[in-house]
Amino acid sequence: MDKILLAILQKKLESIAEEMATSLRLTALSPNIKERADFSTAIFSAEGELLAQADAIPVHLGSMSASVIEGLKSFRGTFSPGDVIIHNSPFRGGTHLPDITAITPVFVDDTNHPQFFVANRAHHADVGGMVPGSLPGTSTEVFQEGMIIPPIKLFSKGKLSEDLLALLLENYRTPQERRGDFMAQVGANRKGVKRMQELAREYGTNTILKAQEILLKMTENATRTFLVSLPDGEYEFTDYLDSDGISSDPIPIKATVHIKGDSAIVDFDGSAPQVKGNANAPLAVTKSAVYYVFRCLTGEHVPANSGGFRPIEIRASEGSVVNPVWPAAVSSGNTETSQRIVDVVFGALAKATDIVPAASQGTMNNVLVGGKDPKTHQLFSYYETIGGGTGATKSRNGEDAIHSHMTNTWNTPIEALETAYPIKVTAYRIRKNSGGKGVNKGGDGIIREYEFLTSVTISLQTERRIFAPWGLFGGENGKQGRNILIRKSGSIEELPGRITITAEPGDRLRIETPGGGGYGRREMKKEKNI
Amino acid sequence: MGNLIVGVDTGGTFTDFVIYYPEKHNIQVFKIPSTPHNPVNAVIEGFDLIKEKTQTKLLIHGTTVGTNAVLQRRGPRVILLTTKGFEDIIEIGRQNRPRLYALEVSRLKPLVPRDNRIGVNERIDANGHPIVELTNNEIQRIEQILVDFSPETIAVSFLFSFKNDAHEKMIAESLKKRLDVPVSISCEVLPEFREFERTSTTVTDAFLKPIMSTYLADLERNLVNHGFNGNLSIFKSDAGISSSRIGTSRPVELLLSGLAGGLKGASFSAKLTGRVNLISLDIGGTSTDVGVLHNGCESIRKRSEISGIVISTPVVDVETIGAGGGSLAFLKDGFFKVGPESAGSDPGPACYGKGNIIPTVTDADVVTGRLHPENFAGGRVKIYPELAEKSIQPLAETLGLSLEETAEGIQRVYRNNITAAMKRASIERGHDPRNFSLLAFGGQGPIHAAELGESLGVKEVIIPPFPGAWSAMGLVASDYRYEQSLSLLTTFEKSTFPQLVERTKHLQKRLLRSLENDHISLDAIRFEWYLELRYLGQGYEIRISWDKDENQQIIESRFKDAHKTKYGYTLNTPIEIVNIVVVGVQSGVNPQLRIEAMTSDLQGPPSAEAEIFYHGDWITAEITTKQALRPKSKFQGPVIVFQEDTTIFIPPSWKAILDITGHLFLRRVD
Repeated sequence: MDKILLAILQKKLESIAEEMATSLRLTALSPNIKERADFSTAIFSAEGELLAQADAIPVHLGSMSASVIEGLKSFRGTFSPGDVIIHNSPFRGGTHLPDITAITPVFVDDTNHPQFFVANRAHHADVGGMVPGSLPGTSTEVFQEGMIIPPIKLFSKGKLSEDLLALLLENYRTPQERRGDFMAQVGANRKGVKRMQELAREYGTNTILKAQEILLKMTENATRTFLVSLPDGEYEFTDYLDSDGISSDPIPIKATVHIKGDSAIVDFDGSAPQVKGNANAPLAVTKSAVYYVFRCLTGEHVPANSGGFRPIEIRASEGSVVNPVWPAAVSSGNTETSQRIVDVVFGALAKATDIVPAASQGTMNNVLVGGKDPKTHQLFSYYETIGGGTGATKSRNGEDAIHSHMTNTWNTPIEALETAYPIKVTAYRIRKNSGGKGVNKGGDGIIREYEFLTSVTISLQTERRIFAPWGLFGGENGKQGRNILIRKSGSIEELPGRITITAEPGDRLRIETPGGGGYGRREMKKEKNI
Repeated sequence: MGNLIVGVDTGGTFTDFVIYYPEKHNIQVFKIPSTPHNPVNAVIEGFDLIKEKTQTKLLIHGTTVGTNAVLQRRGPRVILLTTKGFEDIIEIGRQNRPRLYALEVSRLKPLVPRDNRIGVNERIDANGHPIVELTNNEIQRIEQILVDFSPETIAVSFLFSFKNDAHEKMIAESLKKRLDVPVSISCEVLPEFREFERTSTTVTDAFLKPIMSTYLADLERNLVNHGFNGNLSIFKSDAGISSSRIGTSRPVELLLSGLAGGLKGASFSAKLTGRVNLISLDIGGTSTDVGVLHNGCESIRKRSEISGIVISTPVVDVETIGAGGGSLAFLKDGFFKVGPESAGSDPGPACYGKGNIIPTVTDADVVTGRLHPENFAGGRVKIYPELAEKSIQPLAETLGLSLEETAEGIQRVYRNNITAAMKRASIERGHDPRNFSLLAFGGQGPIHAAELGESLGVKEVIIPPFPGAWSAMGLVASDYRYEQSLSLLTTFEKSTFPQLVERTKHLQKRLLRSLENDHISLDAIRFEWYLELRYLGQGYEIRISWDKDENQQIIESRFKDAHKTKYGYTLNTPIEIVNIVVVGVQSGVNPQLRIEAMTSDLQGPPSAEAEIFYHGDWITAEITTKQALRPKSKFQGPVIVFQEDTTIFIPPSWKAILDITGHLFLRRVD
């Protein structure tokens, strides 16, 4: 097959994934899907290999394929046109419960087995459990985080299973919105099926299957080319999560990257056993974080598909914090632990290549504030994440005050926040000199300070308050983050990274987010200048 | 003074001129190479070429002076005054990063560096109450600091100034007395919520003020010296024109006018052809702009980004991608790519012979016979077909294809990229291409128009009379527009319909006052009212038109219809009134066209036939020229139509017909 046709088919597959994404974004109801774009759409081979994906949330990159393969396992041989399988189990390819994946088989040429699958994953605003939003700070079992859906057929041969849907909706706080989001997911897949069938008619199914094989192989080869450029060897790195919020023990995460020729093994042996709190990262999250690192290193011009996963073997023992078993709590595995996994894999690779960046802030700084609005007497709940510094690299300083690695959501304007909630922002600025020093300096974090105008409950899920973002090659560490509660009386309380605490009117919460690590020993800079 | 209308559109490579003769319903177009070091030179050079130049009643100018200053970060030192504690808002932005999988995270720097941002001790709360008063002592302290800075231009942006502008105005008044520099204040530039976007827009305005006032003064002086005694108007990013004074007093409104000309040209075509649903496709040397005209209206977006700088003044909603005649074709890690990297106009495609040896789309067009040396840019640019072949040869060898097959492959990948962009611009915004016609223009648009239309699935393809200058035509076809907005962030529960009318009337007065301050004539001005609404809790707004004789129910149902079109559903949530908007409109030139009156000095083609490589074979196409075609004459492809500013390719199985306004309609023969 010539490379011109390949380039065209590659772009067409991407366009179909994009069109599915548009359809989902336009028809979904959750602000998470519509505004923060917390969803992904993709096309898969008959075996569940990722073929093309709309530019998405990094944490979905590898984990979608895992979910699709689980769906295939459950229903192999029983697929019909019009089926829609949904599931969200973190122990079967899912990430955390609000992320629900919908999978639809694509039948072309009147065959009796599907040649492709289309799928999408969307973050639902609430899936039940102990708190609204289904992201509890203090969960110790997955059941507290919402309703688990094993792979089920929500639609069979195009017909909705009303019973199943009724069962699900009964367990959610906002059933109408959920129903709308489910239908949006189904609609996006329908669009994908239609476009895939048109593509097969236009170019021939065999042509597309052939292209699929070559494209997977090309991405695989590009990844292998990168791996060959690394010296063979075993590279180890250990870093820590500050705590799981239940005990105060640090949680080690260790990666050993074995580079041998054109392949790599990433082994998490030596990482902590699964923890009681919700810092456990399901295997799919762990895989996504690893694939994210290699995708960054291989280059953005290489199409993202399962071919890139082939040269990389991931070993994470069952029952560990990077591959927990049922019924572990997992809600911050997706948001916080995923960032640390990225850090340790980059850290290990830094021993093999100098293109790796120093550690970025390594947290999303999840802040949740709830209470009763004195003006409207309504309950409110406000959630946001805060950016920080990114790690410096060989060629440039880290960036200040920005989201890094596994997330990329936007902030809420102060003028929107203060208009909608009884909260006043008293400072919002770059945390100067929080980036690690070095030949190239780590990016600075952010200072965000809130004053509460009513009694509130604050929940924090933040990391890097104890273990600092590391510098590389003699570059200094970035400063750890800090959470400070300044009481109206003037007394100051230094809060831990994960806590739920109440505050009174006039109290102020100050979050200082971590800086990025520096790169290169600073004296060298002076020498260079001379 | 006569009645000649002149449109001058400065682009990166050429400065385009459109001369409109109202009595003859005729236009003339020509191009002058741009003079980037001093864009005035090209304008004057072209102006001098107009025989009846002293008869010019109105000269409408689209400029990229501001755009280039922002792109190059070359301009005056801006000092920014912000609420104390919030000096970094402009740098933090929305804390998202532009590329997800980049190893090196990087954002472009804001127009005002940290040391030039000064916190002022003041604070207004969400209700508009000053919770920290701005004192005279504080103003004096700030002025003292400023004197030491010797600023060239100042921006002021305080939190919640759209709710209460007293503090911003106090300090601005005082500064204007004390210092002789321009001051941009956010409550005047963009009195809307979202502190980052408002601050960034205000800083950009301050940055542009000295640049634009110098440029426009220089331009006007030179024009007058060369015999111009008409009015000078400027073209803005919202596809409206305004008195050149706005270019000095609110320069941020022109920043992206380069995007607007094409879409305005399309809306002119819509008027002439009676097609109200058009997809506008403007393909140039390095980039392609795609816009949608739905029911004859351009859609406006309120947030744009250029080179990392965000502005929230109205800009036409256009999707831009890096695809054009200069797009480079190459292999990287085995993957075949066409663009977005471009050879630009210098060195340009390989066939220019200026040193580029990597093949471009234009080289592929030359090798496949779609572009001819004798009609390249009307014969003004010499090209070397053998260099085009030579550039493609190595690629052909690597791919194991023939020279022609490779060239056609480049064209296919290029069209595939543009089709994806057209789908984003139409389908993503809730439009079904089957209900649209494709208007293809720009120097490169007509070369692949038919095939692009087919791949998008539109019902027909239309080529305007002067594709290469159609953006400049848009300038001449524009109306005057002056816009003023204000954030309310309220609901119908909190403010009643009569209150809304009152506040809008107040805003309208404010707009009138500011126009008077700019000495703008208010003759025959009419006002359009808009509301920018969203469901409470949403993060984006939809603009709805309304007037005082309507009521809440009408507005709500209009919003719901628009929401349904754009997003596919409606909700039962309360509707939030985010912004009220008043637009003052005065009719512009309103040109009419008749093809009999259009002239061209293009000579007939030397050969009557061309060999074209099409779908893997050489076919013979007839060559004709645009002026050889008569209105209502029908003909069938394969045909190549030469015209001064482009080449039109009509493939086999396509027929074409010319209408009396000079638009060529292409349809597939079924």
